Amino acid sequence: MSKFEKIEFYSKKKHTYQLLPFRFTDLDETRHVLSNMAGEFIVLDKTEVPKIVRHELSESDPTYTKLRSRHFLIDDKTSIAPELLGIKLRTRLNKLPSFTALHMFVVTLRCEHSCPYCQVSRQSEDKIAFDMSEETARKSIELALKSPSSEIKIEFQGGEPLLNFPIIKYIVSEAKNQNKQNKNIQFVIATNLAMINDEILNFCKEHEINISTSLDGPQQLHNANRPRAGNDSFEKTVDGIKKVRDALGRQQVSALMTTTFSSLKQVKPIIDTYLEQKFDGIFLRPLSPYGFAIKTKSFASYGLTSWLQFYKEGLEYIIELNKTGIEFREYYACTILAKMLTSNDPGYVDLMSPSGIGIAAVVYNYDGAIYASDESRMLVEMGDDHFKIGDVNLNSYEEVFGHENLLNAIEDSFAFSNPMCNDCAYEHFCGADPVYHYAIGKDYVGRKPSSDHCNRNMFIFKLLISKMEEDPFVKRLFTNWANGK
Amino acid sequence: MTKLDGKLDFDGSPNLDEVLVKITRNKNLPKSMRSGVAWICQDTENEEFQYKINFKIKPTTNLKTVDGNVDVYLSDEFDYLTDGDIVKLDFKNKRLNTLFRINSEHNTLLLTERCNHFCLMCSQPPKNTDDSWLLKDAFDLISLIPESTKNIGFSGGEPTLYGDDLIRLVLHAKTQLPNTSLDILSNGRAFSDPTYAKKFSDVNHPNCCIAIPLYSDDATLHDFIVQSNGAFDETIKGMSDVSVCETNRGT
Repeated sequence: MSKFEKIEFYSKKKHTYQLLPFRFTDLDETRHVLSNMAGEFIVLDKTEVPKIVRHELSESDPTYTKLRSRHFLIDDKTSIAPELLGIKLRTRLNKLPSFTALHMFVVTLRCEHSCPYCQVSRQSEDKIAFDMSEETARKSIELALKSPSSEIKIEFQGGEPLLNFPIIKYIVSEAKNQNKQNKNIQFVIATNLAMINDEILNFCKEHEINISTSLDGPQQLHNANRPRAGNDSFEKTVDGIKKVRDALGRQQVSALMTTTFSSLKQVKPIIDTYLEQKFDGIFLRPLSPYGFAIKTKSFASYGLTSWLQFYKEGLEYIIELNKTGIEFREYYACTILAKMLTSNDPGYVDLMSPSGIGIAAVVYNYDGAIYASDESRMLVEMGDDHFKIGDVNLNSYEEVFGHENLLNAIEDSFAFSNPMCNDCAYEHFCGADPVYHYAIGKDYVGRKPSSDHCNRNMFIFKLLISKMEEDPFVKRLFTNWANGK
Repeated sequence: MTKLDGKLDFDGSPNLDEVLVKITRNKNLPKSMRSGVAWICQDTENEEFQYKINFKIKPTTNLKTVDGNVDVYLSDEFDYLTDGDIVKLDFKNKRLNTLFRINSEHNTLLLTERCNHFCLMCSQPPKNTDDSWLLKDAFDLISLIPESTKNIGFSGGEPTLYGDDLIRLVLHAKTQLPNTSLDILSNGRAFSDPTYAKKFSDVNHPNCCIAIPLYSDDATLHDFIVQSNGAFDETIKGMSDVSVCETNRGT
């Protein structure tokens, strides 16, 4: 009898594993990026993927452990992966229920600059025509405070918002008065700083208002991009940055750049300007598609290629700076890296799915019109008010945020269910951006192979992952960026 | 290093084998407050306290001790003891144990030396003996700790091995020390039983943190480090169960 094995011996299975859903996409000619249901990824040689799906991977293979720890497979050792994937996915989406946090108030369209890339500003002395009234402001605040979010950020936009400073003062005090639910309200003024003065600074200090300004690069570029009487925009901005830092604190001012065709050859001088002005980082922004790029499509694709080169050169320069001990970051990369390496979605509207339009950020225009995003109001300037989702004087909160065009855009563009996005390994890092795709082709989804949004972001995803794969320093640096360190 | 555990001598006939007492150096402490208090006295003083602590060698001749009072003799390594500290006087085994130091920000209560893990790097390998007297001491100690204490910790071994008794202890801490944050070191596996997780969560301690170590993102490596098959999955599930309970309760 002892020769015979017990029946349990025959019921014992040989080592097997069960695959969980995952997606894979080219990183380059030889490697794939594989991502799990929660957007965690690994990079593997293309020869490995067939082995994995044919269940030929041995438990002793180092890839096996990587796949198991990142929830690509479960086996008889561990089967907790589905729960972990659920937790991670829920964490990624945990900002959704709190709804709209960023409320942009366009307090005037008037501006003393005449930047050619600006879609919205007006040169006008007529205050009534393009300024927000108290009535409109009050009703906008009522809507903003109805948002379920306990954190409300009110950003003053223009035009040049400081040209209508009285309404800013009114909005700040009215928002505080109306804030019966005790939400945490933060204020930001997006200004070119040309009009900054002590009265404004004192007010900002009293109400802890932050400043966001525009700095396009070195003096010549900045002044060419941003003409104003006196041709001194750069000097005014730099002087203003210093004044704000002195009065409010070093971290109370941030700057944004707009990339124009003249910028494309000057990425290092642009970054150097930010270093000179003692900023901790820069947001290398894409060329805005609204306006010229949409009208001539060949121009757009030429623009994208040059911009990608511009971005890559800039990112590589910033990495080199960090290698010499200068802490400086690129904020677009930071946003994407947070999505790649953590479960905390930074909530950047263009890189959200479901799209963040309306439900993460919303715009109250000077005339009471409500737009689903900043780009939506630029679309209006091009003659299409598709993303106008209401009017503060006419519509209730429910009518605005339940607007058919808003809900359809969000639902239809949900990337997980869009053609090509649904099987893209990079989908978790990306976003839906229905406004952009609608602007290009009157369709919320768009054709991804010809979409600048898709091509640009794919290029950057691959660039960031390749850099991390080839250089441990970059891996550490990017991990710190992702975690806001 | 501060000596927390040492030998004691005593004179008199204590009516208990062991007792937890608060330390005082105040000889003017009103008589009504002297119960359960040990007074650290100088040589010549002759105040009436139930327990008197002397830093000297016990005299060879038996001095006259007032009935029911006990004179305790300690080495001066315990001279750090100060008003509000809590010690355990173990007359049976002639040991003194400092359980709570009012000037320390880190008072951790050892609840057991038993554990269902056997971690490779454990500095305090588990002992499989009945040490539930530690739990009883913890109950008594929590009743004596001042309400102004900012934080206490529960450690082991694995405290959750006490099952429902640990939950009773957390409830006791909440009742006695509502303003004191509580850190519990645990491997979290017990919480993979949703009923237990819910019971724990339902105590609704206002400021309790369960600190759970996870040694790898891969099950095999974690299980190897803690020397227990299936530990990884149970620990993860435990963490998840507790957070689900907390979320459902709206905290």
